[in-house]
Amino acid sequence: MGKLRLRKYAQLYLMVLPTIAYFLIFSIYPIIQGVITSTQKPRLLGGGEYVGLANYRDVLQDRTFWQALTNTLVLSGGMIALGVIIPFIVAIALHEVPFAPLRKLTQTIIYTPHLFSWVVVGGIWIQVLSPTRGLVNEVIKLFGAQPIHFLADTGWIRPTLILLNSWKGTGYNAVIYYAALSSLDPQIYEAATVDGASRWQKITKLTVPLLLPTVGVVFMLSAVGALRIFDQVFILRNAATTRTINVLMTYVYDLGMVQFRLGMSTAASFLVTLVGLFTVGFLRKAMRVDQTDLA
Amino acid sequence: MRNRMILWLSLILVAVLIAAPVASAAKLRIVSSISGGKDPEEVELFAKEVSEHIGIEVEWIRPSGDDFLQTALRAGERFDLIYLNTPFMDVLVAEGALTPLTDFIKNSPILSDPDVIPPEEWEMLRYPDGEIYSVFNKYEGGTMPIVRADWLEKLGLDIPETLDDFYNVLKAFVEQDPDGNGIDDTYGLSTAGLYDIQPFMGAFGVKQRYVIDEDGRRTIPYASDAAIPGFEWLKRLYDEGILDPNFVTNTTADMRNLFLADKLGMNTYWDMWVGLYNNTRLNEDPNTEFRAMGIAGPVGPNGERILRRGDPSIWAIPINAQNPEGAKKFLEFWHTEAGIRMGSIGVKGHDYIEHPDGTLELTEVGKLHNMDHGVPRWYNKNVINPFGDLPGVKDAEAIINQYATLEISTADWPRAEPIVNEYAFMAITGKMPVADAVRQMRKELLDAGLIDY
Repeated sequence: MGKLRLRKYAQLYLMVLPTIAYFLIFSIYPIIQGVITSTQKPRLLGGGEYVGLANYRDVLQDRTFWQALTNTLVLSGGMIALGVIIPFIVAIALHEVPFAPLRKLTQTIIYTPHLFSWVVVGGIWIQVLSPTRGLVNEVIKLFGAQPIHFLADTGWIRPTLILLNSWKGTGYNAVIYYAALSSLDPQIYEAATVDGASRWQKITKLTVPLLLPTVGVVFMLSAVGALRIFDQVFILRNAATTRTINVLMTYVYDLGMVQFRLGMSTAASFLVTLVGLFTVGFLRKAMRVDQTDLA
Repeated sequence: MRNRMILWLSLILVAVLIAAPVASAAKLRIVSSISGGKDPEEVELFAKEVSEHIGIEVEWIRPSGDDFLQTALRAGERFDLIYLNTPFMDVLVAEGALTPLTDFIKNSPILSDPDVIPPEEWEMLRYPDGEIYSVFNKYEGGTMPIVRADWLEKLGLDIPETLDDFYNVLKAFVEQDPDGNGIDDTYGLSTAGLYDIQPFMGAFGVKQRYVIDEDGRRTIPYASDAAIPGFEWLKRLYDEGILDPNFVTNTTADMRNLFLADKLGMNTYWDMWVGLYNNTRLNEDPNTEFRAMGIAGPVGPNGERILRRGDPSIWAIPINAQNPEGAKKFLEFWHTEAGIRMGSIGVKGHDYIEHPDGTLELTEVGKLHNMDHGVPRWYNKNVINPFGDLPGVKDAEAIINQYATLEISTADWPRAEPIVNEYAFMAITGKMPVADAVRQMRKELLDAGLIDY
């Protein structure tokens, strides 16, 4: 029976082979190599001495790791909250705009920052937030207040980073919400109109509940992405704020690339992966994403 | 017929496989993120000219950053010669990944010549096992205060000597409109973070990074009480708007641009840049009044002055190099007149042209490249710069030779540095009382086992 099935679908199995080979070579093999490296004191020219789980122990005993984990949780908490709520409001507001050209123009403007890399965005905002020549501080000075060094002050850097992340990502998440909004059945709204529902009631009683499954998806995507934030921190950190905003991924980078501790760096990256898997698993279970209409 | 074809194809394949390593062994693979051509086109021209000089085909790889080398080595790439900084060299030596060059240097008529490289300099590269694993890329120099000498003259000020003199000069640069545009738009001092406040901290006898006593116990003087008045002095500059408020986030390029744009009276940077600053402005306008001058840091109450000498940048041969003899040939060439000419002025016919009478002339590209292709200055006393020294460099170099000393990093410095930086910035920018910041810095360093006292 099995042989017959194999023969029957042989051509299809053959067609799947390149994909399987791709994943074996570019995903599975590096992961296996990574696991091996994480149990070694690796040498740069290859090979290394087996050290068991010592690298994992060293990471877990390293204060910088826990500091990076705390920073990651604080930053990602803020980024997820704003990354879910603001685009939600923006999408609903856009949906209420009847004049299509204005709606499209607004969408384009909001989405544009997402198209730029963090290198560009970081460069722009370093100028905009400069305490001497920056636009934001020029406005602050107009009100007679002292300029704020947003990117060098340990008190300001986290909120600044969260806001910049939200500014850059709002357009993308708003598109996801807007797509879900556009797919809602107009008859529901017509029925509500017949029943005498106001615009506000339609938003609060229909739109918001109907969008909740999408909110779940966006929340989960944002949560997974937030654990892997690197670019924005790497670009915007400086000597004064490094310890306040260093996150898990910059910790992994610094260990490997700055301190040349490849074994520990690889062990740390696997721990980050574990944290990510745990988070996704927990969120899927808690939010029952698989059972939603949009999943 | 088919079998014969397969046989021939197999033979060709085997021949290619055998020939490939032989071909690549003859080629010299060099990696440097600093030395060589400035752009992909010039990198190729550079490799071609080096090939002609040493008679070996050269592949010159110029990555944009240091990450490449580490990643490539770990991935199994084989290079014959790699450009390194000393922390990376320490790691590779500890792993036994570099070829010992002690005997080669001793037996090389070029590298062992005291006029080419002073014998005492080699001691900087010698490891406790007695071996030397690298060869200098260039004379490194050091960092120092670089002041606008024309502004000093214009405002009737003398070259500052003491901390009070420095304060008065820097304050005058802010308040007395040295650029004469009638606008309050100049700063006295700028740095790129804590890089480099050593001249000012040196007045209090405080050395940057680690100090190790005779018992092998480590400390970081910036975390000692002796550093408190140094940070207080810098805080005063910050509070009074004399220190560029962007100093925390400045890159070195930001700092340099501010200086070149007549917005800054003093910065702390490499001695070589005294000449590069002057040359840049002279190239823009031969009649410019701009005149940068390197000066010693402020003298402390006990007569002390400390400047920072740069860590050596070096070339090394990995143990898995396929053409180590070719690499050694290059290392000797790099310290000859022809090699130094390439490392400084650049590629013949591209950066400069040679007239029939033997005189050289820089091309427009050469002028832009500022006579720096990785070796702006060199040890070899027999090689004279055909264009003369850049204005101000010789005097600056003399000051560095008198006061600058190497810093001690240790493998723990990358972990200690963020702690030192955070509290130093808090102290200077007034986010924390200076004495509290220094003591908290010391406490954290002690708790983390990064210093012994």
